[in-house]
Amino acid sequence: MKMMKMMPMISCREASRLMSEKMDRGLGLAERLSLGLHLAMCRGCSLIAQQITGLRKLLRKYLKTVSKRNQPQLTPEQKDRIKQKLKTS
Amino acid sequence: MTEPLSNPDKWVDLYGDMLYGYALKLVSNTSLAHDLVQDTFLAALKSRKSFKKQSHEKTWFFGILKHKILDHLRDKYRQMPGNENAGTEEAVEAFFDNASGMLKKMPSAWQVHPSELIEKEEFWSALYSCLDHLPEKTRDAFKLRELEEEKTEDICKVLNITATNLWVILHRARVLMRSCLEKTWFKAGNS
Repeated sequence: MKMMKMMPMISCREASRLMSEKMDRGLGLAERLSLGLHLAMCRGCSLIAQQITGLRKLLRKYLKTVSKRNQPQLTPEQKDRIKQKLKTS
Repeated sequence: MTEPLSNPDKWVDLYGDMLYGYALKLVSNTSLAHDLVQDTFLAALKSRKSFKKQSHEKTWFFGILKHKILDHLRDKYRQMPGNENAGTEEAVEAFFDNASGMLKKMPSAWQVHPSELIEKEEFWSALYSCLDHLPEKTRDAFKLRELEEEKTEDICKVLNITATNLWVILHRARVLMRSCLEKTWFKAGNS
């Protein structure tokens, strides 16, 4: 109870900001504690936190994936032109 | 195990499509992506003497392309310096109750594990159309951070903004991308 007094429950608005900033900078101790407490008690925010970190993981994997089926390609003409440029430069 | 650099005649066939696909994910513009790939090969040719045999040549090409992309953005934002304040604040505020700051609506649980989505072309076109709704600088910040894993310090330099502004716009981008995908993909019954 004493802890709760020292660490008032932050709002979802505040938790949203902190869960995002956690992905970009180190949070301070007080920030980590109040975010952790909020997420433990708020199902909505903890879902959102999972989804935005999951989305980051997915995007980073996507960038590194060369697709077997949908890989965009340069046209043969574009390739020939680049080859030509490489030869003449 | 080291190998010399392959013959420049072979570069385009070996790596052209791979580099083009990568560039396209970051710049979303086919002719710009093409130019960046071409510039990458030309720069590689010029500096091929400095190729270190310790690294794989594929990694080397991707490193050059990454530089080209950052250079392109740096040039673009040299013309548009300063923090981004475009109107995404209201859109984010709308998720929270004005007085209490609590979420107005419970987010829906996403049914699909994200890793199943990698090869799903329709998902990526939904995601890129969500990205199109973001202001330009916010969009580029989001791509550099969440796709490219760029360091925040470097993103600030490239975009010509402060760290505090970057945190703010990345927060807004994440909130808006999440809810846009919820609406246009996850709730639309796709899986």
